[in-house]
Amino acid sequence: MFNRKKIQRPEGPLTEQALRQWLVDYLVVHVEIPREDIDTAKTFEAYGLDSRVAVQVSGALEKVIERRLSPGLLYEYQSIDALTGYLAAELKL
Amino acid sequence: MGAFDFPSAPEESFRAFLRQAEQLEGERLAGAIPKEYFEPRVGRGLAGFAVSWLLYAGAIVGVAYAPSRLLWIPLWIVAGLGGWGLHCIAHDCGHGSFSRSRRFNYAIGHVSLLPLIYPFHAWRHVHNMHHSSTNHLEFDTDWRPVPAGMFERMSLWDKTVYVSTRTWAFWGGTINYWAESALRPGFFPKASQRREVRRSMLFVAAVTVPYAAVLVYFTGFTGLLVYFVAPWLATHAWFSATTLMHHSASDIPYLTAEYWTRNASRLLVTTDYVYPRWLLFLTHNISIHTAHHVAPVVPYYNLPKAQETLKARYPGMVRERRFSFGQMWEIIRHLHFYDTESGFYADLARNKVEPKVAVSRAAEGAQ
Repeated sequence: MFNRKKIQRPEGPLTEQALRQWLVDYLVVHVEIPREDIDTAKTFEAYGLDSRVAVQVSGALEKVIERRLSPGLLYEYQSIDALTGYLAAELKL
Repeated sequence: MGAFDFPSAPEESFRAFLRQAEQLEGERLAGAIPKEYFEPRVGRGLAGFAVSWLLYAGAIVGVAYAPSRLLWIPLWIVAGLGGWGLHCIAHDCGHGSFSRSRRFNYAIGHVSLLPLIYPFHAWRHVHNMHHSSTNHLEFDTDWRPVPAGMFERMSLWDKTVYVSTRTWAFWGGTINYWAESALRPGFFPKASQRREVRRSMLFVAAVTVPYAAVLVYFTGFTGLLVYFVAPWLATHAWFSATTLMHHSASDIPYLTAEYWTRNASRLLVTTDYVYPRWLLFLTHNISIHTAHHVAPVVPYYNLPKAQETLKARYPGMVRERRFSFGQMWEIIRHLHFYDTESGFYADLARNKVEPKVAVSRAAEGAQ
């Protein structure tokens, strides 16, 4: 319940690749998906992410990019690739 | 930066709203308000601060000496009005309009939010989010309706809180926001915000923990409930009712990133409920709210004048209504979800609520 394992914020300037890596690390540590099973094109739903985890992911992501994110983001951009692509475009990375 | 793509079937009322918003493109709304109205008068602000503390403390002393327990409820409502007035003073402090000194504003702000056990910087940052995204379907922090489809995916607890605070427990809506953000630095995306919030939390703990201990020591747990918890609840009831009514109406939409504009969010999505003079005085003009959204740094005592200049500059755009409990009943009875087709509201049964244009105060006067 009190999962305090922390994924470090990417060092240096934020890039699309760094965000993608951060999301992969987050899923490995917090959702306990084996790293070799992660496919960045696969939907979050396919990993069994429920709405509570989706809120946690987006809350943690907000701290990485230091901006607020739409609560609907993970429903609209349903894979790591789609999400990082969207964020990179929005944040002009 | 939005993710939603609504409304899917906008009708004439939505298009009419967009046309009005378009008329405001490129306008510098705050320019309609004379510069001198932005000047704080610290003495006037401190008088408001003192009045609200007296009301809060006086009502609690009244509870202690009340000859009958029947008087407790009205006295708690008065204490709540005092606590709510103090929030309205902290509100000026948060916007930098209490005085020109940031340090003094922060000090008064921290002390004013004690009856609410609200760490000032947490409140300030959340409130700034509300101002920068008023009626934004994705980013507003206050009373944002969710689409029914999204509600379905919420946990049972979240669903219960959502439905309750939009209906019978509307008076506890701000308690829910408090629980989400006031004592949880992790709510805030920026590290600098989280540091400030932690400092404010320490201050609140340093004052309220000994205060609660003293209350319990001398008056028992009943004393804690009667002299602190009940006024806290009553303050939240004022807080919730007022803020719910400010930006929720069947004909005022919440907007996705595609349609949300800064100027419309400042001028077109607020309803100003006209209070009797004594209530305006005790709530520090918080219900004169459109001018506040157009220029948040106008101190509370200058809002009536600022509102008049705004009305003259943008005729027909400032929504003023006579306050009525019927209006409040309409909101809690019908305005439950965001309707993804019309862009306005749906009720719990998922039926679209027709946008009803309320009669303006000017039109009421003409009748």
